[in-house]
Amino acid sequence: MIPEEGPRVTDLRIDYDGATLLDHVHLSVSPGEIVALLGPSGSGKSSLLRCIAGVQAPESGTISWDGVDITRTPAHLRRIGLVFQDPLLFPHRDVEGNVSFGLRDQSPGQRSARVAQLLELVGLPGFGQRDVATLSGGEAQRVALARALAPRPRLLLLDEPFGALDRDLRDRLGVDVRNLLHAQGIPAVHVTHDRVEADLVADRVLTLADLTGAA
Amino acid sequence: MERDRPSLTHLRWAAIAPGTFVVALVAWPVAMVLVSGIGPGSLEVLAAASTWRIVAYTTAQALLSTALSLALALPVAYAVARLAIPLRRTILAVITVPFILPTVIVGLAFRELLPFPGTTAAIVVAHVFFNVGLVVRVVASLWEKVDPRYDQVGASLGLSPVATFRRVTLPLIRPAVLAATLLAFLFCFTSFGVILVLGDPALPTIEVEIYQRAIQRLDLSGAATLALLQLLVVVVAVAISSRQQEGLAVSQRLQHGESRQPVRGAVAIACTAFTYVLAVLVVVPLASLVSRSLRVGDSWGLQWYSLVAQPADDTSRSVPLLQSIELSLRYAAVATLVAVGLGLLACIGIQASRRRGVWVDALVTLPLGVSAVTVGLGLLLGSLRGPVDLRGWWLLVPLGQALVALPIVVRVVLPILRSFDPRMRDVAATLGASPVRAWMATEGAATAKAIGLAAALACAVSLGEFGATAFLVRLDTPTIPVQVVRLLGRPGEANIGQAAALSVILVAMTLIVVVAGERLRPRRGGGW
Amino acid sequence: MLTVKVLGVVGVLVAVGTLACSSSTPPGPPGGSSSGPVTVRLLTHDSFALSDSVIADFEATSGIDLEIVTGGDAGEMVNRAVLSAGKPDADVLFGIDSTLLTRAIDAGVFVPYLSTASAELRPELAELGQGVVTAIDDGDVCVNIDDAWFAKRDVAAPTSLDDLVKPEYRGLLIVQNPATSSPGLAFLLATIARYGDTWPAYWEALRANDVRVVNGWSEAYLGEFTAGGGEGDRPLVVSYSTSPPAEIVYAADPKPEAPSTSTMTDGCYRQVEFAGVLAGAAQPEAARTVVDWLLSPEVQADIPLSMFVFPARQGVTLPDVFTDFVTRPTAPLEIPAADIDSGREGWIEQWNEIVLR
Repeated sequence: MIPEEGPRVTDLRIDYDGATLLDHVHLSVSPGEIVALLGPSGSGKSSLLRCIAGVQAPESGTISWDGVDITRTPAHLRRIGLVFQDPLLFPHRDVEGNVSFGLRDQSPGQRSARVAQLLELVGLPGFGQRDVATLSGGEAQRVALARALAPRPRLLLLDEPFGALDRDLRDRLGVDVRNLLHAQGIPAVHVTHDRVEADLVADRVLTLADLTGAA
Repeated sequence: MERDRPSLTHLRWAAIAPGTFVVALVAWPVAMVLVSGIGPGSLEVLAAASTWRIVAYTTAQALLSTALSLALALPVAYAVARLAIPLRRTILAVITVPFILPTVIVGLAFRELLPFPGTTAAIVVAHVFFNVGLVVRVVASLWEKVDPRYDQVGASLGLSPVATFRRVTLPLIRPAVLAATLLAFLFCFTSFGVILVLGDPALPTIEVEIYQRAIQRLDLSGAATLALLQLLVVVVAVAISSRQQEGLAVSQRLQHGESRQPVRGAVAIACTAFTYVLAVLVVVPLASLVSRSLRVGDSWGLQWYSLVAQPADDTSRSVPLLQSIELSLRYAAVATLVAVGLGLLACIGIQASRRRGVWVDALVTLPLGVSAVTVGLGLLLGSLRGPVDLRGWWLLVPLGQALVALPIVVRVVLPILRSFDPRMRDVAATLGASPVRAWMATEGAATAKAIGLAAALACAVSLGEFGATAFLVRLDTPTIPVQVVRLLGRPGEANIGQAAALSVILVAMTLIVVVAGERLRPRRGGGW
Repeated sequence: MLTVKVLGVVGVLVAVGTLACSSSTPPGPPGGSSSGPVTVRLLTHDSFALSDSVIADFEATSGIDLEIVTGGDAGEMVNRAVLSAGKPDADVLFGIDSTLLTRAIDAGVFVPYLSTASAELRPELAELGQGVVTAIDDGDVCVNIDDAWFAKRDVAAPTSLDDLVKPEYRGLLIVQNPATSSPGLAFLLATIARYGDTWPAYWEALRANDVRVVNGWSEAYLGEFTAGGGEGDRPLVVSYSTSPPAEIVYAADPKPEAPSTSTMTDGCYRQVEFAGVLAGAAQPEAARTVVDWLLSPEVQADIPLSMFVFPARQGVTLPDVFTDFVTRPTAPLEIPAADIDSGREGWIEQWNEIVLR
């Protein structure tokens, strides 16, 4: 038996509006691994990510990290990042204010260094003082990614992060994200309904069917 | 898609509890009126022919005022929503000013201005003055979002401009027209200060009759019965309006941007000209008030202002006027804090408790239709007949004012809160923000400017509040509006002059507060 | 830094509030057990007046600081006192008349106090205070006539209540709303005392004769009356028997030798004004002193020319304008206080139905 390492989802059940959406879900992610989760919209992939992130509670089952049960741990203590399809940037903060949001415990100097580093990484150097309303869709999503990566999450959850972008941009960003995550050694679960994107980004591609029963 | 957020369950209960408190606080005076208004005497009141004459008169003047307000507001709403007129924002701001002015002061201004004070016509003119800006705002806010190409389709199908308006535009903006009609009707139906100062004493409205029964005839039960009757009409009006709204629900594609056309064509020019005329007319009563306050006999001077500023001497016959200014400020400050605090709690409660939130929402908005006099009467009855005798407690005055201002706070803050994507909070949580910080960084930050505006409006309302205050204020501590009405009850130029000077001071205070509130808008990109 | 701004504004508001709190009078004046002047608040109607020197002398000798709180018309002032019975806005009340007295006493507005000077009261007034309040002054509410107006038109002025409904006096009379005005109620009571159960018919006739109704005395006399100094257009008004001398006293120099107005001696209603200590007063002891003072020779002598009513104390010398120009009705109309208390509400309702319809 290999000792458990990283995140593991065990026998999870998620209800929506009184009906069972997903049941008997099992999932584990190896260190540094990017897992793509394929499936049509409305099938419960997003709910699964929300449960892992801790902004939604499952009906039953456990979520653990290195064997420690974190099912009841509040979201803000889990250190699991989440990126939605919409960038959801805080409208009242500029780019730097958004990226540094999760860096509260650092000194101002450390913080701005980290912000600069991340903006460099996502290909937006010098964007710190920009008003988020002036960003294009692709730029905004890059800022959202930088914001999620800034506090060095131990797992990043990407919920259709490129869904709103066009094909060209999607492919470019896909490659960027893959390189970025690998360079930082951050494991990720990437939800998409796009097979091409899944192959492009992920080390391992799964469907919901792989997670339930079959696994 | 709304998904449950169990991690916020605690926050939600924390929000529902204070929400319940707010509801109890609002429901209390209404319940007291209910308890006192139904009794052996109520049949007598309901059987009296005079009661029904008063109801009929109140309704008639309210309907007339509402109809006139609508008729005058629609062309202006068109110009403001559809046409690229110069000074558009200024005009919008100017015509909205009356709505925040104290009713008593407007009554006085028109009493000085109109050649026919003490008539129904005078009341109607003042009511129209109050409501035109409101109707314009409400209607234009929808109108400017209606895709102008609908009109173009109408025209291309051979409809005349009038027919296009009637058959295409009007149906599309009707929800806003109905909402504005209801608001204007409620305002006119429950109007108090204006009618007390400007109306014919022999023709009381329900609101005036409630006050006179309670304060001048000590018939509290009769007053409560009338208050219930008034409430009933309000409920019926709201019910009719929402039925109409439901029947009209058209889902239409609203445009995000606004496209305004240049002023071209007879109709557009006429509407634009009318808009400017109206914006100028709005200033006239205020100008007449200022001029009244400066007119001393046949000349001009600051005598009335220096009388206002005079400190009390040992044998002063009444509460010094300067003290009224201090009192008004004190009460308004407390009322603002209470209204904003309760309003925020209510908003969070409404937001957190989804389905039950509708009821919280309805109850909190109740004072909008319940009328200030009923709130005052209810609080008076509550402190008179309730378990704890609160009579004479100074806090009752700001509490009454806060209840009157509460719906405004909720109306200003709630839409901002509702427009906020709840997933923002999730994002903040996954970035390590505790639930409180997550709320502060998202909804809290987004509502901050709305709270500033809400506070300013609540403060303005409290400063000018008269209906509830008249019931609750101690004789030795009159607020400015109460003092103005007292001065107007005494004859002589000096009294009217001082009333006018005090009024100008109150208007200035109100405008400063509201402008300051508007200025609170944050610069984009600014952090906490 | 938006929060800072918002908090700043809130802070300013709070600061203003606190400032206002600290600088305005707190609800209760400090207790005057040992030293320093005691503040006594006197609740009265808008028509209250005494010479400044009389008040100043009293404050100097008694160590009491008198603060006057006015509560509108007599009726409204008393109603406020009834609504706040036990938790009053002041310590002592002056200006309640016989029409409202029973109601106020029943509501517990007063703590009984018989002034030490009450032995000096005119005998007919001694018992009226029911041992709770003290009579301070009295006056008669009568129809006032602008004699000059009638002389100019060569019309004889009316002399009785019956005259007022005659066609030659159509559109000439102003009365006050009995629901909102003390003389208005007095005049209604006069008609009830005179006509008994048929009073509604009398008012129907008055209404048919185009009587004008206003809310208060000031509006009626100073605003609508032809001889009231305003721009009035009616020569008959319900006012006091002492209004004619007031015309002379308030006239600009050179003062006329005789007033241009007179009173109709028929249909006058006698009003007595009382003072009493309010239940729950912060300064009951000093409040009693104020009641005694109101009955003192100094105040009683000042009353005629300050408020144009008659002193309740016997043996007070009246000013010349009173002896010369006031006719006290020999048989003023009156209704017992208890009857007024039970009947008033219904009468006013009925009056409303008849006159304000």
